[in-house]
Order: sequence, then structure tokens, then C-alpha cells
Amino acid sequence: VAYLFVAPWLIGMSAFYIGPMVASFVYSLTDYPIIAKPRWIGLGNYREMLHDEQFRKALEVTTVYMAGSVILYVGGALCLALLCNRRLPGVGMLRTLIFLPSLVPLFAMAILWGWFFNKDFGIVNYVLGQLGVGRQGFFQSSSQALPLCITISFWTVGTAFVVFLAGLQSIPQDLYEASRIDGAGALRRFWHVTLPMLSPVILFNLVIGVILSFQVFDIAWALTNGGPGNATLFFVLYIWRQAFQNFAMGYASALAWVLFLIIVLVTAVIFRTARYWVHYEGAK
Amino acid sequence: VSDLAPAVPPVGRHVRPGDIAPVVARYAGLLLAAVVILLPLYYLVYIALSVPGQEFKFPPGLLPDPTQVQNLPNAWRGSTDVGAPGTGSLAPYFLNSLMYVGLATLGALITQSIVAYALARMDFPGKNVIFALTVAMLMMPFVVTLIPRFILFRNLGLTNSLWPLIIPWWFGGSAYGIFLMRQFFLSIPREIDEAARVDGAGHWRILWRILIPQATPILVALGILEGSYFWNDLLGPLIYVDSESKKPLSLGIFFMSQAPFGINYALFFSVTVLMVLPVVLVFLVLQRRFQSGFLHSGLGGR
Repeated sequence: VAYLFVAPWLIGMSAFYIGPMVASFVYSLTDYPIIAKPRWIGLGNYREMLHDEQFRKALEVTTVYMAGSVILYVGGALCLALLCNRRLPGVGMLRTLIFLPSLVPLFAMAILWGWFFNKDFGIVNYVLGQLGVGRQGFFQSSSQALPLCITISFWTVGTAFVVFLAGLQSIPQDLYEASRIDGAGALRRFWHVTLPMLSPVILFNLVIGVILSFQVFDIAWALTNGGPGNATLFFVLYIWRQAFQNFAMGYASALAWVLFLIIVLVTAVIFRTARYWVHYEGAK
Repeated sequence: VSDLAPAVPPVGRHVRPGDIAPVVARYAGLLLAAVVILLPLYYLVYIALSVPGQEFKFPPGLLPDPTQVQNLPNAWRGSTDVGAPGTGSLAPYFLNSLMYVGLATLGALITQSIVAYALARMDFPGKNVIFALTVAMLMMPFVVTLIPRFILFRNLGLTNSLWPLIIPWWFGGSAYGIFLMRQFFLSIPREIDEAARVDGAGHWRILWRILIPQATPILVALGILEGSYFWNDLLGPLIYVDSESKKPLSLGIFFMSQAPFGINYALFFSVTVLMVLPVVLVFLVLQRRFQSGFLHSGLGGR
């Protein structure tokens, strides 16, 4: 009976995860222009990457975006959750509000920010003009576009926020009482009680944040189309172009595998360091 | 949510200035957070209700002048009054989205609870392997499976439809949902289903009659997370759907923003408001359960 219960997931996992994963590795060793049969070329795709200027740029852009947006995502969500972890009048409503932007499609948010920061008629440039600061290029400037993309990713903190809030509320209150009696101030209580007790949740959000932000697509696709130049050429956008515009399924698969290995590597490093900073109750 | 720290000192104690300052600081922080979070939402609605071409005004009033509430019904009908270039009604897109969200979420919730039940309550050889694999899938980026899945569904002749985006969700769909649901089931005391078992109930009955009714918070939480993901999904439909008549709202709206002569912001955001409104309403109605669903799922491997 038990196998009947897990059967759907066993089929789903094989057909839509493990199978495709293996398949994409096989495709990555071929030249596969979708209309023709795949042709075996060994490591040819991977060798091609070494000379691919856009590949290198995409890697760089995506890494910067990942680092910036994960800090914002985890840090922002944590700060908001700490702020809202008190029963004060109005806090309940704010908790609800903080999740709302996460329900707006990301591409629509991106276009909204594009309107704010529009070079010619945007509010921000208008205000800067009134203050006597020169017009900025913003999303049309190759140095400002990426930092702006990172900034606007802040409004997706909703899920991480809710997860942090749940984590904070499951910290036993007697720990706080005990440390209060020991004379610990608010800062010490945060450092010695809240942070260690919350560390497994921080780890969870950190890993999810890394995986999600490495695969950012909507912002670039809706707003910048990878530009200006290749300043916001995110890796998944590059994969999409190779697969569905150039129909180079083999090369795109190889790119996907490289990204996969990078994500595995980064999460492995995080888990490695986790034993030094993640505190599991009962495990000494 | 009863285990919150009391912010106000207990009654009977003398209130010192030292107790007030942190509360004031906290409110300042809360206010700042509220403004930052709400700013884009406010402008979303503001632009949606503006006269096309006159969205920008400085200093901006509290409401656009004039406020054109009729933008919303006009955008729905595809009327040219908001400058819609003969897009036609939004109804077909809406129905496509509804089908995608409805079928995918339903499949996800049903199959994920069945699998999660087995992982939480049954003992069988290979269970630990399956659970370990599930956790590994949690970390699998979707890009790796993107292209082979596309080729698979193309060979099955299912492209140019939303089926490739629905079918996987009738087979568990994502490790995330199974994982959260399993954690929640583990938090329900076993004694409850032991009692039912003594009364002769099988696993199937225990799952549907006893655990599922207790699991509404996690079902709501997952339903909202997964449902809103489907509703807003852009990349999936972009890859699989070509015909205009089969496009969901997300893809339909998206192409509105890529108009060759620039975006009609008032129209675009009117449509966005129409798209976001149902999701927000559902969320507001269910948000208490949504939060408690997370509270009891013991996230983070605890």
C-alpha cells in the first residue's frame, strides 16, 4: 500500500526531474538544433564556452545579482520579521501587507520600476532634476542597471518573511525570560538567543534564496532584455536565447548544467559552513 | 498566535521612559517598512486609474486627477477608451489562467498530501532513500529540467497548450510542497490516527478523514504559494504556448508591455490590477490560516 501512495511522486520524480536531468546532460554532449537529430560532439559545447564572451558576462552578472539579492532577501526578510514579531496594534495588518507585493507578477513590478526610473519622464529623474542633480540613465546605464535590478528584487521578500516570522514565533519564550533574569540586554538576547535559535531557518531561506536568485529571468526579460550592452544578461535569459531563439538545444543544455553545478557548489559550501553557525537543538 | 512577547509592560508596573523608547523606535521602523513596501502597490493602482499619457504628475496628488475608475472595466472589455489597440476582452485569457491554476493546484495538493502522508506515517523499505531524493530535488534548479521537459512534451505532441505545465503537478510536482506537507503531518500527534486505526480505519481513510481536515492551514499556505506561482508564471507559458487563444493572463499582459510604440502604462497597469485583484482577495480572506500553516510546518529541519 505504501508504494501505491508514493507512486505518483516516484513517477513524477523520474519523469520530470531525474530523467530530464540525465537527458539534459546527454544533450549537453551533442549538437542538437531541434529540427535535426542530435549529433554527438563530446565536450565540444563545454569547450565552446571557454571562448564565449557572453557566457562569461552572464556568469559575472548573475553572480553579482545573486550575491546582492540574497543579502537583501535574507537580511530584509529577517529585519522585517523582527520588527513584526511583537503584538502591537497595527502589526497584524503590516504582516499582511508585506506579503502583498509577492503576489504581483514580477514582470509587472519590473515595468513599474522601469516607469519610476525612466530616463526621460521618470519621477526619480524629475526629483533629482529639482535638486540640481543631473539626469541619470538608470536602467539605460550599464553601470546602474544591475544594482537597480538587485534593489527591486527586495519586494519579493514575502515568502522568506513569513518563514522567518514562523521561526521567531516557535522560539520558546522561557529562553528570553531566563536570559532577562540573567541580566542580558536586548542586544545580547538577540545575539545569544534569537540568532542561534533562528539559524536553521536562516539556513533554509539562504539556500532557497541562492537557488532562486541564480535563476532570475522575469526582470531582465520584461525590462532590460539583458541590456544595456550585456549589463543585465542573466544566465537563464542567455540559456533561453540559446534554446528558443537560436534553437541550440545542445549548447543550452550544457549552459544549464554549468549553472546547475555552480548552484550545487555554492549550496554545498553553505552547508559546509553551516555546522559552524547553525544551532540544532539537542545536537551538541 | 498566542506566544508573542507582550510589548506593553504588565499591568500594575510603573511605566518608565525606558519602556517607551523601544516601542517608539519600533513604530518608526514599522512605519518606514510600511511606506517602502506599499509605495509600488500604491503607484500600481495610481497609474491604473490615470488618464493614459498623463500618469506622471509632480507633485503627485493622493489620487490621480482625474481619477478614471472606468479604466478597469474598459481594460477588461479591451475597449479602446484606455488606448487598448483592439486587444479584445480579457475573458479568454482569464479562463485560460483559471484552468491552469485550478488544475495544477488541485493536482499538486492532492498528490502532495498522499505522498507526504506515506513519508510521514508509513514504514516501508526505501522510504529514507525516497525522502533523501525528495530533499535533493528541493535544490534542483528548474533550468536543468527545462529543455528536456520541453523536448519530452514536444515529442508527446502536447506543446502549444498548458498541459505540459499542469501534468507534472498531478505527479507530486515539486519537492517543496511534499516536504512542507510532511513536516506538517509530523506535527499532528500520532495518537489521533492510532485511535482511528484501532477502529479499523485504513491509511486512505485516515488521510482523508482525519489528517486532511486538520491540515487546512498548510493546504491553504501551499495552495496560495503554488496557486499564485501558476497565476503569475511567465516563463512556462512563454515556452509552451504560441496561439493567442491559449495564452494565460500573464503571457497576454506581458506582450502588452512589449508594444512596438512603447507601453501604454495606464492600460498595462489597469490590466495588472485586474490580474492581481483576485489573488489578493483570496489571500486576504485566507491569510490567518496562511500564516499558521507556516507556523506549524516546523521549517528549517527542526
